[in-house]
Amino acid sequence: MILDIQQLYVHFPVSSTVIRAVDGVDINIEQSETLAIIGESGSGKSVLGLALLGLLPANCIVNGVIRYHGDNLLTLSENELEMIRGRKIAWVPQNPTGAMNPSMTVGNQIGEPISLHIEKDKTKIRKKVLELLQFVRIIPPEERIDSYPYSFSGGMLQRSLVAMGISGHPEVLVADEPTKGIDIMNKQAITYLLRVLREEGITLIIITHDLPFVQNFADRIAVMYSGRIVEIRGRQEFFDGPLHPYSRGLLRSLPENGLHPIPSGTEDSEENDGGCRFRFRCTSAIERCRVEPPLIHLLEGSAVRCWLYE
Amino acid sequence: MIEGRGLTKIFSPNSTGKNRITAVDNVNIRIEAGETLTLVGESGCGKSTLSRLLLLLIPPTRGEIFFEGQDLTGLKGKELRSIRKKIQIVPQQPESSLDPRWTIAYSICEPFHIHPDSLRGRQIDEELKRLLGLVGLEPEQAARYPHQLSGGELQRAVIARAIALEPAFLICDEPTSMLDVSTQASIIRLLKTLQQDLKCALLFITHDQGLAHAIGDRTAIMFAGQIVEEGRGVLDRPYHPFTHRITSISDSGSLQPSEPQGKKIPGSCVYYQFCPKKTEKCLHSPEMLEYDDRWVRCHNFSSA
Repeated sequence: MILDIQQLYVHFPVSSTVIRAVDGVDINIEQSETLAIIGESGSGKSVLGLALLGLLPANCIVNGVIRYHGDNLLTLSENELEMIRGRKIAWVPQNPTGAMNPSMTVGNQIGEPISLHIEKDKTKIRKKVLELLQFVRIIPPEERIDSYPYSFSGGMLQRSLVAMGISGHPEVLVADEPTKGIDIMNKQAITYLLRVLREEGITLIIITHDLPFVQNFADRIAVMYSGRIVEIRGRQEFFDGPLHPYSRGLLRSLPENGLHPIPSGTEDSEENDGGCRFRFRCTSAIERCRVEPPLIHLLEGSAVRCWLYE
Repeated sequence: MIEGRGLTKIFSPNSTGKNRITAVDNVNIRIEAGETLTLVGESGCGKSTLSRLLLLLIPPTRGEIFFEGQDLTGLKGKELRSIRKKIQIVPQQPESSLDPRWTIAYSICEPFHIHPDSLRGRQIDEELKRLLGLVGLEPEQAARYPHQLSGGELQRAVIARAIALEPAFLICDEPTSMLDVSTQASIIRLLKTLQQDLKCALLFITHDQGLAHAIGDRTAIMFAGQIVEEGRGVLDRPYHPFTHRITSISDSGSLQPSEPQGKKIPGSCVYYQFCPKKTEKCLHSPEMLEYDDRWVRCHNFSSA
């Protein structure tokens, strides 16, 4: 086990109320596995990713444990975190256009983690960056290394971010929506890159709502809804027969399954009244769902948060 | 209904070298009332430029556009404005197509301020209520500003604005690529229902083949400014090598992305540098030819 997340809470106090972005998440991540975290916009999946990197904004309240090789990342000092962030656990942010510094060359940005953590020699860093650009198929690398981000297409920027993420040889790579808004050829290129990384043994955590994309190569799927994990399954089992009503709804809304949207909640389903958070949109909801079910563990590492499976 | 003949757009036509870009290259396109054509292609292949030509936002370098039998090429001022209200677009990023300082309600009603005669005596408030009902937004949400709504809600607002004047031709430029799957499903269903009610022609631009499959009557595949294949069932039974390539991606994710081979040869087929089946004939750009129910731009197709 490389990462062990226990009872993780990330709450944002906003004027009179509290946004519970991550609200009691428990999950283990094994060495060299590829875990996909899926869920709709606002389900808390990106905040969970940021928590793994210690990049949460200062105004939030964090509770719980994120154990990485025995250390609790949440109690490390900023100096200790800096030895891990970018070097051991790296991040490929979403929105490539906004994630790059427009006034710095792409080559320098990709080389930044190397110069911070591994190598100070500028010639060696440049050589390494050229290799990375070649690896992510930004060619010819010699002509591209000194370009600024504005001259790159969305797909090239996304691949540059992957190059930046892996430049410090991390053990864990967290990729947030790596296929959002990019076309099919670029998506294929990203899929290919992540596959190669996976074969090299990097632990991949992929945060996405692109189901066909993770169907190709994730090992496990974790489904998030309203700050909670509602289902954890092996990839094949998940796509063959999702358990949680929310997961079933997600798969039914795919074009190939007939584009059936999940009904929107009739009452204010964001309100946390101690019941199952999906019940306002759930077609299988029963009286008992007024009490929230625990994450019920089933055979072979599967788990689901729904009374139907007790 | 709407038809483009020999549409070509060259940016910087007078310069030489790499600044001269042929974004749309001799494209013939025709969409009937009530029909959906999906346009599939990579980023940068000219999909959006083609849609802007059809919207009359930019003039074509060559070619003509006919709308309900009328030649639109060269129309100006008032005449153009009266046509414009019949042609609308739903863009990819709703947040950047709404004025952040206007309420959603004001943005949705803007078309009525520009074309007041379209109200035909009806009250703006009632029209707003009707439009909100059609796209599934609450009046309370319409009183808010864009930053206070989610991506799916914004896209509904943009759709309400686009259908306000009951257009005859609607272009959707990747309207759901930034949305999650359930929101996507509800937006697509909304568009299809509205299209049936309005009987409008729909051009749906996407790079999601699953979506193209689910909604299009016909599909056109675009590569480097040209439509290389067009017809029914294109994604199920691809004829052109490029369509073959994009439809076989999902099960060949382990393949390396292909790179162009050799230099671009002027006058050759646009897919020449990438094509695994190229022959000497391909040094001359092929014409679009009809086979059964399908148009294909490839020399090697007849032998396939």
